[in-house]
Amino acid sequence: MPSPTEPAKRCLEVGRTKKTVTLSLFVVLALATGAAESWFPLPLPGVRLGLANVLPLFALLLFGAKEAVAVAGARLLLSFFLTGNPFALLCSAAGLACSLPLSILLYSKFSGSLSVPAISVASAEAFNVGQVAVAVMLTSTPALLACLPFIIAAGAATGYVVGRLAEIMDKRLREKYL
Amino acid sequence: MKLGDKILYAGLSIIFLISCAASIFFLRGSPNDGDKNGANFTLEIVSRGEIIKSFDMPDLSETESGSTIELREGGGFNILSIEDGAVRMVSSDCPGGDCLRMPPIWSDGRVIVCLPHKLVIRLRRDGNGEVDAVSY
Repeated sequence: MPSPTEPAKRCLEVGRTKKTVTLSLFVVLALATGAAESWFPLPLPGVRLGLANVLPLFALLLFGAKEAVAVAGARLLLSFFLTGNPFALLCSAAGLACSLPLSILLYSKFSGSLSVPAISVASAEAFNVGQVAVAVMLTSTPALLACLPFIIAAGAATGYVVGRLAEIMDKRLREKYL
Repeated sequence: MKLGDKILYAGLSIIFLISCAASIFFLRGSPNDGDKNGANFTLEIVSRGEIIKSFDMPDLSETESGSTIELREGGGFNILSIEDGAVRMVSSDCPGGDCLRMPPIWSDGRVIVCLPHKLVIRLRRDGNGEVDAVSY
């Protein structure tokens, strides 16, 4: 790890237009990633790779909390408009409501002692917990909780990959293109 | 790896182990042990938390082997097939099709869930688990 700097100082200072364009690009990329991974067949029902979460996280690293919320929220709404699946909207919204505040809190307060992949793992787990909670409530089936070990393991794996990706993208793209 | 990472991963591992234990508790009962013991299973169709239909599995597997059950719930259709005491979702018009990918069920407490149609298909060993009737 090169010298860890404070998150407050690391926020990128860019012009308003450039920021808008960049964030819009992030939203579109997140939508495309989400669409692409829905073609990925996974043995467990309801488990997605969650690679699209790399973009809100990247926005958090590059710009800050407000921008991460904007990217995640826009992606949530737009993917609902595209798929028209209210159930998925509810599940994802519950997942986001758990994971986004957690990752923002961890990044702003504890980034001295937590690496980006670890923050991402924590936030992926929080997302899964929120999602499963909503699924259990909507179907009133506590037996869904039996899937929890698989969901936790999958969340750890994809959370780590997403965190590493965001970290690498942050390192490579920060000075070069933005 | 930073200190916080280690704490976080350790905590996560503990939660993982606990959830493993909990799910083993949930899913105890190995495949086919019901058939060998001659226990009867009830197939329950649950929609929005209420049992809307239930079938006796022996009846289904003996008299209508390879039979199907068609369901129209939650604004779509689902078709279940019963073969040799195992229940499988064979067709559904839900958007994700996740219920089609769930494994067949054949033992106590196993479920197939179709979330978009708010539908749960579960097997229950007769006289096991929940209270069937309460008298005062």
